[in-house]
Amino acid sequence: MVWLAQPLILMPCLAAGAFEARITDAEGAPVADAVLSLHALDFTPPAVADTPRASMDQRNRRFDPYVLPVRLGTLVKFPNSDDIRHSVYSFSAPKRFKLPLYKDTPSAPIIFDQPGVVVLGCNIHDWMLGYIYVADTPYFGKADAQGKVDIEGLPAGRYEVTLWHPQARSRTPQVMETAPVDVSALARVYSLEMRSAPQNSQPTSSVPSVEDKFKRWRQ
Amino acid sequence: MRALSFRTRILAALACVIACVLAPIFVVVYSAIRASMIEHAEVSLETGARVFAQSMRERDEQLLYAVRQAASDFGFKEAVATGDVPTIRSALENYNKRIGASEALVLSLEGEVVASTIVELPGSPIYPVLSELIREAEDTPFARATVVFGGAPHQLMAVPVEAPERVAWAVMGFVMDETLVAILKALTGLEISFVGYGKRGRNAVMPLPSTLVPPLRDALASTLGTNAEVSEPYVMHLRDAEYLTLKIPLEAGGRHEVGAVLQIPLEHGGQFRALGNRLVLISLLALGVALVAAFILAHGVARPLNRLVTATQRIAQGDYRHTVEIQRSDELGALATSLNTMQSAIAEREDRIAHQAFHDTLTGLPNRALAHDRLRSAIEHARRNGNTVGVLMIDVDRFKEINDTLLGHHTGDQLLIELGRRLRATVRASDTVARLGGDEFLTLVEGQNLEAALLVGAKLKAVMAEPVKLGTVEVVTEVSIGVSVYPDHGEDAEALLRRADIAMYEGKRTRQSPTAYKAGREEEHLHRLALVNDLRRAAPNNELVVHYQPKIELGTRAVTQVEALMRWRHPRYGMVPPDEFIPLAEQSGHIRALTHWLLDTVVRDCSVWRREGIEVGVAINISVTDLTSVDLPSIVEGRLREHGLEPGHLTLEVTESSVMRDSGKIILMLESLDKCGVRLSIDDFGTGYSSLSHLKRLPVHELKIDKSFVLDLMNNTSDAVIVKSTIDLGHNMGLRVVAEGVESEESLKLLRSYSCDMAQGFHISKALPLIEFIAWFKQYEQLRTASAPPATEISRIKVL
Repeated sequence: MVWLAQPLILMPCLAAGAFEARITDAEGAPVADAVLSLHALDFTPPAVADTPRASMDQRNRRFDPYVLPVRLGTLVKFPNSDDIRHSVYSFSAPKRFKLPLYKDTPSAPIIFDQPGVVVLGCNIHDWMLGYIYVADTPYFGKADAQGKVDIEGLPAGRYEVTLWHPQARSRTPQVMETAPVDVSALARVYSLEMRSAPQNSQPTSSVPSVEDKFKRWRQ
Repeated sequence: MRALSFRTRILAALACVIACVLAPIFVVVYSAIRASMIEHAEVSLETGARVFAQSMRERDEQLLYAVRQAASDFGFKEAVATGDVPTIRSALENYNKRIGASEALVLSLEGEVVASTIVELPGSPIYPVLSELIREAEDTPFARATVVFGGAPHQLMAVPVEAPERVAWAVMGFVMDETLVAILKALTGLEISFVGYGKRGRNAVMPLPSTLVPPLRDALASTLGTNAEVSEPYVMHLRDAEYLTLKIPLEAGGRHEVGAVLQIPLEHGGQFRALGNRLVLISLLALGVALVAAFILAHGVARPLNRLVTATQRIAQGDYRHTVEIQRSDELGALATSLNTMQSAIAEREDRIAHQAFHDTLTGLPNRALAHDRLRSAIEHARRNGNTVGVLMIDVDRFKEINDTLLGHHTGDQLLIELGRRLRATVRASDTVARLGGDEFLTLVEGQNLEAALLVGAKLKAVMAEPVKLGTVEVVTEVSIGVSVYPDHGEDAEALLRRADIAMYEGKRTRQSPTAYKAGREEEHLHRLALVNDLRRAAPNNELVVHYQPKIELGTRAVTQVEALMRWRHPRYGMVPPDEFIPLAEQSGHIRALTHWLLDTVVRDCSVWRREGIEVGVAINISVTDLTSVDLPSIVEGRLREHGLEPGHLTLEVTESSVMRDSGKIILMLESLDKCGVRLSIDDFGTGYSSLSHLKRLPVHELKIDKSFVLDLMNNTSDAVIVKSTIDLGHNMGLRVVAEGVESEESLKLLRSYSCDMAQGFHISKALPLIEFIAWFKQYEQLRTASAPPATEISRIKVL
């Protein structure tokens, strides 16, 4: 969150408000890693002064963080904290890339210059899954473990609230509402319909058990 | 035929017993075999079903592995993620070849086909099914379906393509074709059939690849039923064969569009049929052996039984000559022995009965029946040959006396035996000697005319007259013999016997034997028989009348007595003379009744006329039979007392022969009568053989000279001498003498000159009925008292 606050400070607008949201699933349990973004409807946000930078690490054969929201045009580097090699790739439309097997940080960071969700995989470890959310707005945040998102320093005005989560029923970012923001903080609770977690079980037989049909003669 | 039916019955019974024993055995064994067979089949089916399930799972896993392999290939993922369809299709074909899958597809997450190796059928049912499958599958790691297309079920496996997120579904399939079922059959040892179950409303079961031959597939489809659920093992009939059957749906879960049918034939390898055939064979063999045994047994019983039946039928027909030969130690042998014993016993008894039926048990001579028979056949023989047959009827005189009184029955029997023996010994062997019964014998002499027969009779009489020594007694028997001869005296046996009998009785009467039958005697005999029969009713029917013949005192010519003479006015024959019916009455025993009637009538009449002043007594004839009945004196006294007649007016005339026969009893009787006060007269005097000393002892008052001496008195001097000397004799013994048969005045005069006391005869009067006698008497007395009438005038007195 710290790194998020930084661009807001740079903003020229004086009047600033805050947006606070809590994300739950249908049952009311907190949903972590949901990305909430606010799109200003009444003004154009200021352009990026410097190219933002971000990092998607690979640690313990997982992407870390699992979800990385970045502003459009961010340079993301993919360090490797494991002592094994990874081969990160993405076939997602906003950014298709393939990093050859590497250890440590690859040679150059990749710029994400198209908005959208970029799904990251590792060609070696199929289960490794990571997301980079490329937002075309400076106002966005990621839910913490308690499902809380805090966005501060918002210029007053109306905003379109979109919400996205890798396991949400909707695979694309979802417009939740148009929220008016002024100097006072705005608190919201959003419920997301989630997909069930994928199981990875072996198939049961297509032939039902017939053992119980043969008990007649053996007993 | 009865023996055959007996045999058949034994056979049938044994067959039944064997069938009854074998049938349950057969059923039990059959059931046991069948149960065991089903059990074995079920074990095989279970094992096979496990192998089948295992095989199917392996195929699933193989398929899943293959699809996962494909889906996880980075190049494939890239192609799918980037929508590079040609690359995808070529990759799919590559994977197909690699694992021998029959089809491979890539579907979008929405279920639309991205790429497919299935070239034909754009509208193939596989696509909607797969779309549905994938839509439903969502986040599941894989999805499976068995879908029928192209005539076979296809085992399909869908796996998501993750790049790295799920971007599409890769699908691969194995076709479940004839090759598969053949492999499965080889693995499981079962008949494997796939079937398609009709979807919603369509009930038809579709035959799919199967190890069964096509006709059986169709039969299976039509037999199976639309319930696709897993079944218990059950027996299914397909055509001629039975299969233990198990239905297994090939989709766990709600969709049962395709199923497998696992079957094992019950008669696998024909074991059961062979066993069953063997059992049937054993049953038939047992039945056959039993039938042969039964046949032998039945034959062994039936043949001797047949012979016994034949023997009994022979015996029933009276043939006793053969014995039954059955050499057996069992009941049949005993039966045969018994039958033989019975046969000889019957023969013996029959001989005896036959002999008894035709022979007299006492003398052993033929009896009446056999004698008749012999006589009939002799007549028959004689008729053909113009020959003669002599019939001699022999009766022992006074046998009854011998038998009853003198010697007893045993002696009588001995006598008859001896007489029979003598008869038999006297005649020729060819002649018949029979005992007809009692003391009656019969001798038949064939070929003898009357003279010869009479000679035989004379010879027999002489032989029979020889004394017979019976114990200490010697008996001399007289026999009466009557002779009749065929054809002289009759044409048939009955007539000849009857006439010989008549001749025999005549001989007995006349004491002349042998006596030949004389023509007309039978008629007389019958007449006599009729008279005897009618005699019983003569008195009750008022057919008897009494006529009175006067007797006159020769001195005074006064009528002092009448002789009462019985007359019988027979309703058919008219007046029957006493000479005829009195002897018949004596012979038949009716005489006593007649005498009683006469006594009653006469005493009454006499008392009547005496009360009218006619001083005349009455005389009646008493037979020898009457004299032997001890109640005669009391009856006489009773009559006299009843009618109030003085005893002296009643005279009882007894014949000389009767008083001379049995002196003691007769004298006692005469003395009793004398005591009654009645007069006694000896009738027919001169015809008997009276001894004077005997005569002297008799308490009689009168002699009556037999009319045979008086009738011709005038012309026969010897008669006159007899009459005169008899009169003198009587007078000398103090007796009055009466002459009867006086028929002329001259005789009357002569008798008077002989000093005869009384006379009786037609010259004086014939016998008259009571009324006429009274009239005659009055007229006679008138004439007599008016003047001494000339003797000739007596005869002129006639009753008007």
